Amino acid sequence: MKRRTVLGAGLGGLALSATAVSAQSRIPLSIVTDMPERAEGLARRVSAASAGRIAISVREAPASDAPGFLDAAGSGRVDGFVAYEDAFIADNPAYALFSAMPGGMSPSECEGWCEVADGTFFRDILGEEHGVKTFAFGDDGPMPLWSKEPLRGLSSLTSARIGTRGMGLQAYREMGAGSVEDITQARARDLRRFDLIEGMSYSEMAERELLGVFTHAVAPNAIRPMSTRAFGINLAKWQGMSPEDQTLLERCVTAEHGAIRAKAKHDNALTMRQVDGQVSSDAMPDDIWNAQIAAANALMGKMFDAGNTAADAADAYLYFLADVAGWSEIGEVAYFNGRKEVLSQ
Amino acid sequence: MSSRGKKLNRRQAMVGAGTFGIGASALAAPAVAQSAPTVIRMATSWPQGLGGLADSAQRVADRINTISGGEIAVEVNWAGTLVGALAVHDAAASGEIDMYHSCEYYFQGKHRGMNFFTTVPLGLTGLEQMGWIRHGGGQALWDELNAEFGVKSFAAGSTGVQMGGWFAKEINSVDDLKGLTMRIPGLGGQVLTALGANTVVLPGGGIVEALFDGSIDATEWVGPYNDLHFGFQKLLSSYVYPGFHEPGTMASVGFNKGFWDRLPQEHKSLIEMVCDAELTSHTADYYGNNGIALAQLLNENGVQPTRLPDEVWRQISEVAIDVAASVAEDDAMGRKIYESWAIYRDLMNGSAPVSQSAYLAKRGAEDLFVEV
Repeated sequence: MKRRTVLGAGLGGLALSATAVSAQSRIPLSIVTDMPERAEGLARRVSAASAGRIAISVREAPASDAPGFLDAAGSGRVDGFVAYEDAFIADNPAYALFSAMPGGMSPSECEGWCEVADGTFFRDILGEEHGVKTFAFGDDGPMPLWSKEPLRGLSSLTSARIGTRGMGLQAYREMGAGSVEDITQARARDLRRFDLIEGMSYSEMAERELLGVFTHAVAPNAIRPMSTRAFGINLAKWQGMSPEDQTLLERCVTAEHGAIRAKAKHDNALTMRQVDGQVSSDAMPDDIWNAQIAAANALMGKMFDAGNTAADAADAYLYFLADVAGWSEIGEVAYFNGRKEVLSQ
Repeated sequence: MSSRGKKLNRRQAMVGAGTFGIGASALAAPAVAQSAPTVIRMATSWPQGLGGLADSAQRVADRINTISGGEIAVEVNWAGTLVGALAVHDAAASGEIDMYHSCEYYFQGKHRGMNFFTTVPLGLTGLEQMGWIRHGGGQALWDELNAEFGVKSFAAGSTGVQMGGWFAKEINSVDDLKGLTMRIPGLGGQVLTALGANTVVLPGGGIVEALFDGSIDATEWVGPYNDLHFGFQKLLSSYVYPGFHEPGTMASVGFNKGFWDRLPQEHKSLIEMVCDAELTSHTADYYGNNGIALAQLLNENGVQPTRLPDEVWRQISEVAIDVAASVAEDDAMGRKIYESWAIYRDLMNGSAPVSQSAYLAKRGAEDLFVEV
C-alpha cells in the first residue's frame, strides 16, 4: 500500500498574497482509492485552485478493498474516496444508478438527471444514510464485453467463466450463466483465466496487456452502459467547510469529471486504432442483448424491494429516463447514425 | 464617475451582501476586506434569462466570484447592454471588455477556422470536440488563431447535438430548401447557401421578431429546451431532425489576451477550472432539459418532429463535407486547423462501436424497463 501526497504541485498559487492564504484555514483531506492517478489529478487541480490551502493526500488500496471505502469515509477513518459506486451495492443497490445500471442511462443521460432533475437529490439522500457526500468523478463510457472467442449466442455464456463487477454479477446470474466472479477480487494475472470479462475499457485492457488474450470486443453491452466513478467525502467534513471551499471542491471535482470523460474517450479511440486487426469489434448477438435487457428488468424490479431510498431513487430514475431517452433518440442517435453512414462511404 | 466605476460599486455592494446564497459571514475573511477585487467586465452573446447559455455565463461568473472569496468580481453584461451580441470578440480584442461568453463561429468573418472551435457540419459531438481541444491539438491551434486578434479563449461546455430547425413546410427534398430565408450561423449556413437557401445570422434575442416581421421564414437555435422557451412551435409547423449543422456546439469564454496574461497564476487556474467544470454542468443542463422540453413539446403542444429523408440527408452531407474541407483552401492556418480536426474526426468515427451513441441506438427509447 502506497501513500502519495500532492501538496502544491505545479502551483502558481504561491503567488497569492500571504494575507489571503493565512486568512483561511488549511484543509488537509486524506482519500483512499484504487485509482490513484485519477485521484492525484483531482489533488493537483484542487491545490492549484486553492493556492495549496486544500491539500489532498491520496492513499492507494487494491480494488478488492473498494467495498469498504464507503464505510471508511462515512465513519471518518479517511476523509474521502474515489471509486466506482457500484462497489457499494451491498450497502444499497441504488448506488448502481450512479455508476452502471444494466439497460439504463448513458453517461450523458445520467449527468442530465443529476443536473436538472432529482438525481443529485437522491445521490445526497443515499450519501446521508452512509455519512458521505458524493459527486460524479469521471466516466470511461460504455464498456464492451471482452471475449476470447467469438460469441455465437446465449449458449456461449452457459459454460463460460465470466468476470464482471457491480450489477454485472447479478445480471449474468439472472441470465443463467454458469460461472460468474467479481473481477475486483481477482489479481491482475488471474484475469486471463476467464473466458469473458467486462468492466474494463480498451485502454485499461491495453495497460493490463489483456488485448492479446481477449481478442473480441462485443458491443453494445447493456450490462455496463456507463462507468462513472465517484468522489466521496465524509459528510461532517463537508458540512464543516465554508461555502467558498465547498464550491471550490465541487467545481474541481466536476471539472475533473468532464476532463476524465474526454480523456477516456480519446485514449480508448487511440487504443482501438492501435489494436485494429488484433482485436475484433463484434456486434452483440441479439439473444444475448435480449437476455441482458430481461436481466436489467429483473434487477430494477428488485430495487423497488430494497428499501424506501432505493425504491424512490429507482422510481425517479425511470421517470426521468422516460423523458430523456426520447431526446437521445432524435438527437444524438439520429445524428450518430447519419454521420456513421456518410463517413463509412 | 465612469460607468465602470459605477458597476464596480454595485459589484462590491453585491459581494458584501453575499452572492449566490453565500452568507455574508462566509465572506468576512480579512482578505476580502483588505483588497479591492479584480473586476472583470464580461459581455455575453446571450440575452438575460435564456436558459442554458445565459445560465452558464452567469454560473461561470458566480463560481469565479464565490471561489475567489472576493478577490475577483466578474460582472455580467448581457447582449446589447455593453456591446452587441456578436461584437464581443472585437470588444475583447480592443480591450473594451475583458471577457466574453459566446461561441467562436459567430466570428467566422475574421477567419473561417473559428468554426472549428464551436462546431462543424457533420463533425464532432460535444465530448469528441472536447477530446480534440484538450488532446488532439485543438487548443494550441485555437490559441494560434486567436493570438492574431489579441484574444485567449477556453471551451466552456456544449449544447450537444442540435435539432435540424423549424420550417413553415415539410422538407422532403433539397429543392424545398431553395429560396428559404433561414437563420443559421457558421458553416451550416454556408451549406444551406450552397443548396440555394438564403441564410442570415441573428442573435438569439432577434429570432422571434424576425419570424414575426417575415424577414426569415425558417430558423434553428439549439433544441427543444430553448425552442419551447422561444415559442417556435407556435410560429412554424415543421420541426426537423437530425441537425447536420451543429453536432456539438461548444460555448467559449474569451479574454483580452493582454488582460489574461497579466492575471496572477492562481486566478488563471481558478478561471480555467471553472470553465472546465462547465463541460459537465452546461452540457448536462442542455441534455437533461432538452429531454424534459421535448416531452412537453410532444405531449402538450402536439409537435411531431420529422426525420429528414435519407436522400436529403445524403445530399446535405455531401455539401457539408465539401464546405468543411474548403476551409483548408482559405490559407495556411485554415489548412492546419482542418487537417488536425479531420484526423480527429476519423479517430472518433473509428471508435463508434463502443460509443455512448451506439449503446443508445441499440437500446432505443421505447419500452424501457417495461417489465418493472
